[in-house]
Amino acid sequence: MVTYKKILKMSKQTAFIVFIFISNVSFSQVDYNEFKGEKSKISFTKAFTFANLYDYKVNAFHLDSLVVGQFDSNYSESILTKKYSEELSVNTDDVVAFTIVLYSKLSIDIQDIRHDFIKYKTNNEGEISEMKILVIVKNDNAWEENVVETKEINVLKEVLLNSDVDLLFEFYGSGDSSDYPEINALKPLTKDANGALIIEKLHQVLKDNQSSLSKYLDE
Amino acid sequence: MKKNKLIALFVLIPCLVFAQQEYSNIMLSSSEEQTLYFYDYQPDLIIKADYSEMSEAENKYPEQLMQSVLSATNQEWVDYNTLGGAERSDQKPTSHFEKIKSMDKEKNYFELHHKLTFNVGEIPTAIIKFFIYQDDSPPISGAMVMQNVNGRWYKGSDASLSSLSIIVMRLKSDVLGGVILGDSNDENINDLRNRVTTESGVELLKLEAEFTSWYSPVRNEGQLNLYIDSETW
Repeated sequence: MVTYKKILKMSKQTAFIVFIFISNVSFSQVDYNEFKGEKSKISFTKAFTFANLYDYKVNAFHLDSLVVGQFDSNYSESILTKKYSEELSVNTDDVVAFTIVLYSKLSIDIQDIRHDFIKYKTNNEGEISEMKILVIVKNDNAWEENVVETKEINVLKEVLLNSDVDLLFEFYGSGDSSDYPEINALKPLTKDANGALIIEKLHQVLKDNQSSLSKYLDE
Repeated sequence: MKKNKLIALFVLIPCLVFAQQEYSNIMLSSSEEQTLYFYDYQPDLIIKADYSEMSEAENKYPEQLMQSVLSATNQEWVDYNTLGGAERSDQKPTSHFEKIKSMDKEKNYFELHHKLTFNVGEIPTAIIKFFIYQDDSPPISGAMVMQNVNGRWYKGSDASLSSLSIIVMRLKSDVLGGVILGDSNDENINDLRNRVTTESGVELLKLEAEFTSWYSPVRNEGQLNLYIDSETW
């Protein structure tokens, strides 16, 4: 290793030779592919820099979080209402035939890009859909439906689908609650050293314990 | 549903949206097992500010990006080198660019020591340990985190990699290489490898805990002498 201090210790002549050598390793002559290196493995956890869980029901003061019209485009929910614009357009001031029932939203930055995962059902004249997740992404300051499928996005979708806001906060909280004995036992399996929920482990725990956790979920 | 209910709903929804807050209320992380490449530049690779125009900097390799970083003579160039562009880049004063333009390229350069390359999610990522030489001042150590998006390398700032970059900067090349590759004949290096490695490879949390234990609660000079490059800050 040629370092500043070592160069100083060398004789002037040697330092001159080293300097010439350094100069000769001209960057333009380098084959960059030589710098790949030898293969090994690493395991790590990567923290998401922003994550916010939002419960539509709680924040609507226990009123139904029903959507019957279009949202302003400033909000990610506008992509959801646009997706159902045809169905929503049949609603009138007097009759509502189609509604979107909002349950929860996970806003999270994945690779510095805001993603909103919205959990909802639709109600079409009494015909209620299964629980769904729409992933919306903010690109160039505009919201659009996410079309990129990654393992991470799929895991987050399934986590939200197999949980709800209360349940996730029970897993996240440091203390135990006597109301959630099953979660108290499972939560250590889902956290990293910083207390963050590791989404892949949470996903597995939710999947493996679906029957015992189902009583805590949104209906 | 009656009209009065409808009015209530239309009033409700905007209020509900405005009530949403722009702050994190839960910490989430993602666990990854990735293939990792370790490269020890032998001899140390010298990178000089040889680009005169931004258009010369293709940044197809991490080393090219470092050359581009050192050569950047205007803010547009700095933005070009940074992941996220102008929104994420350091805003440099004019005096900085004047200094770059007038500096002696033979006395101001990067000296690269070793490099890790691996994916974070699906993004190719490299961390390079280097020393920067500035005129006749003593060299200063650093580690640059770079990420490849759409075939071009950028300076990144993934918060998850901040502790790893400090470890990459401070560890001696033979220590880091031995820990990662398991090819060392040094008993102390192999001991360290055994403490931080599982069947999933080097476990970063274990390496971070080990690294921290050398400094806190008290400095362990024995361990620091074995593993830390004394010329790093």
